[in-house]
Parts: sequence; structure tokens; C-alpha cells
Amino acid sequence: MRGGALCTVGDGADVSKRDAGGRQARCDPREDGWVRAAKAGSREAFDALVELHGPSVLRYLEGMCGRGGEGEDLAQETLLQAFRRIGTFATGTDFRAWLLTIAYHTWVHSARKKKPVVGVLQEGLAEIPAPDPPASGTDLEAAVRLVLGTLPEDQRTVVLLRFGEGLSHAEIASLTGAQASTVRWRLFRARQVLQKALKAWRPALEERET
Amino acid sequence: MNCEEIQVLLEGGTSPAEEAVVAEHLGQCAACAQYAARLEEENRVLRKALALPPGAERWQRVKARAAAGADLETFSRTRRRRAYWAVAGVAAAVAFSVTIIIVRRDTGVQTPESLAAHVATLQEEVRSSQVLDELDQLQIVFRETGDADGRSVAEDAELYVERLLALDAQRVDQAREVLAGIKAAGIHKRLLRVRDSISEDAPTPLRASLDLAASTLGKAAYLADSKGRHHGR
Repeated sequence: MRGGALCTVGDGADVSKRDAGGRQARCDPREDGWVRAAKAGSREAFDALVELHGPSVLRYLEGMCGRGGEGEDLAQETLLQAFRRIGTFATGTDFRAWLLTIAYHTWVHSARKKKPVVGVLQEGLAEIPAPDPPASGTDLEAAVRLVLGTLPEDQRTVVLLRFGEGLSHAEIASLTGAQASTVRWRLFRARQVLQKALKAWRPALEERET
Repeated sequence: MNCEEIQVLLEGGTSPAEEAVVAEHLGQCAACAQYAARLEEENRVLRKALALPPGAERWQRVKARAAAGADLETFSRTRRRRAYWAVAGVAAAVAFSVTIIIVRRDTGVQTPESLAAHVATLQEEVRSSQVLDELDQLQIVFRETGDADGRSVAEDAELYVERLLALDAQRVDQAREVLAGIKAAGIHKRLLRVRDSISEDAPTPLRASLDLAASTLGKAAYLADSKGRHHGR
């Protein structure tokens, strides 16, 4: 992870590799200045950083908790934690990845306080029938989000961070404290569930491609 | 490597050596080549489904609530800084009382000149410790927590501190009158009673503010007392 990474999105070969997960390109050349000022205690600068990267935090946490769940509360807590800890942020590293790390730990902490996690019946997940008439893109995306909600939490996290937030494997590994190979394995397992659940959608999908 | 191992590697984050193995396998295995092609399209769908921005209304709500939380944090940070001054104020109070005791031991009485000097010192201390600000904050806290008694004591204390600040230290009679009023009201004792009555888990700055105000007014009462001795002798 390094500073300014966001600003390279969409600018050349290195970027296409970096952006394989589909990172939303939100670039503001003032970001480095805001980080320095926020660390020095500027509330305005901190608010500007939140405006820029806060939506990622909410999106990730809503993905983890499901819409209408605790996502909003956890996002609020994450931003507050970031406000408290801004002095410890290492200048030159990726601010958004730092925020998402706090979001991840906030979520883990909140999940720990709840009832013990009972294994999700991944194998038993029913296939989602394809709609008739054939699916629109919006239907498919909604179905993807639906299936995502049934994934075990460690798999859901890596899928959201990879495809929702566009983080690299190394970034996800560092953020979740897992090995890069574990991240890859979790992505693979999640994909198998998605493929199985959305099997009936494939013809429509392929039709759209052609 | 078997096909499943290759398909795991296709998820990405691979080393150059692993990439070479994958490339070689794809060249020989039609099923995995097809799988790899499908992966691209699946990833596009996943990105489209998961990278949508969150609803503007929900985001505005989160932002507003987080900002309100940060405002509160800023407020308590200020109060922590104030608590430092409160500690400094208590230390000054101890030094001040020791001075008075020494003066008394030396002279036995409080002369008009020494009283004027002590009042001026106390006024300076009141200004530098910002005890009036602390009392304002206490009133806000007590109002919010519905503590009518605490609020009334803080309001009275503010009134007496303002009187103390307003008096002309050189006009000894006026000073004596104000000091006697503070002593008669027993306001410093009331402040300490409030401090002792508030919950154990109340924020430390709250207690520190009450201590600071009690210490300031306690010193004023002490000076009034020294006046009494002076007259008594």
C-alpha cells in the first residue's frame, strides 16, 4: 500500500493490474495535504477525507451486515475511531485502506459481541431460479448481493474488499491479517457458491455477452 | 498441479512463478481455459453489483452522526486540557494557602495591604484558571443531565466568582464585604457536596471543574475569615 494509489486508477498499465478488483477511482490531488492537516488537528481536513472515502466504509459495512442491518451504526463508529486515531495514521500510506482496516476491526468486534457464529449452510444453499422473462443486469446484480449475504463472513469480507472496494490481494491480506494464499482460497470458495447459486442465470448472462 | 489448484490461482495475487505455471496449464487444458475466460465476465458482474455507491440519504445520516460524535470528542478534549489547568489551579491554591498561613504566623493579622495583595492574587488566579468558563460548562452539563441542585450551585458559584473579579482590590471595605458574602453563602462547601454526590463514573473533568471552583471560592472565604481574626484582635 502506498500513498496516492487511488490517484493512479485509470492511468495506464500498472493501473489496470492494480485495479483488477474494480476499485472506484476517486482521486483528489488535495488528499495528501488533507491528511497532513488532519493529523495536525484540522477538523476541516478530516471532514474532507471522510467525504472522499467514507462512502467506501458504509458500502463495505452494509455489505457485511446487509442493508437495514447495523452497517450505518458501524460506519459511524468507524469514522469516529478514525477521528480519534488520525494522529497515528502513517503519512504516505493509503488512507482509504486504513479506514477500511478500522471498519473491518469494528465489524469483527461487533460480531464477536453477538451470538456465537453458527456455520452458514453453504453447501445447502438453494439455487436461485433465473427470472422469466430473462434477467436484466439489475436483476443479476441484486441476485449477486443476495447470495453474498449467505456467504460465511470471512469469504464475504474478501469478496467485498476485492470487488466492491478494489483492494489488491496483498492489501486484503494485510487488512484482515490473513495470508495472501488464504485470501485467494476464500475468493475461490465464495466464487463456487456464487456460481452454483446463479447457475440458472448463466444462459441469460452469456446472451448478454454476445 | 490439478485443475482445482490452477483455478484457485486464477483468483489472482500470484507470484511470477505461479503465473508461469498457470499459463502453461491453460495452454494444455481447454476446461481451465474456458473457466478463466468465464472468470473475467463474472468479475465484471461482481464489480458492478458490489461497487455501487451507498444510498445518499444513508451516507448523509452516517456522516452527520459521525460529525456529531467528533464534536463531542473535541469538546471532551478541551475539557481534558481544562482539567490540566484545574490541577494547576489546585496546586496554586495549596501554595497560596501556605503563603497565607506564613503571613499570619509572621504578623498574626491580615493588614489592609496584605488583604488587598491577596485579593489581587486571587483575581489573577481566577482569570488564568478560567474558572468562569468551567462553571459555564458545568451549568450546561447539569442542565442536560437534569441535575437542578448542581445547576443552582454552579449558577450561584458563577455569581460569586464574578463579584470577586469585579471588585476593586484596593478598596478593602468593599473586598471584605464581598469575601464575607462568599463565606456566609458557604458556596465552596456546596460545590464540594455536589462533587461528592455525583456518580462515581462521572467524567473526571466534571469533578476537576467542581474542585477548581470550590478551591477558588474556598480561598475567598478563607480571606474573609482572616479579616474576622484581624478585627477580633
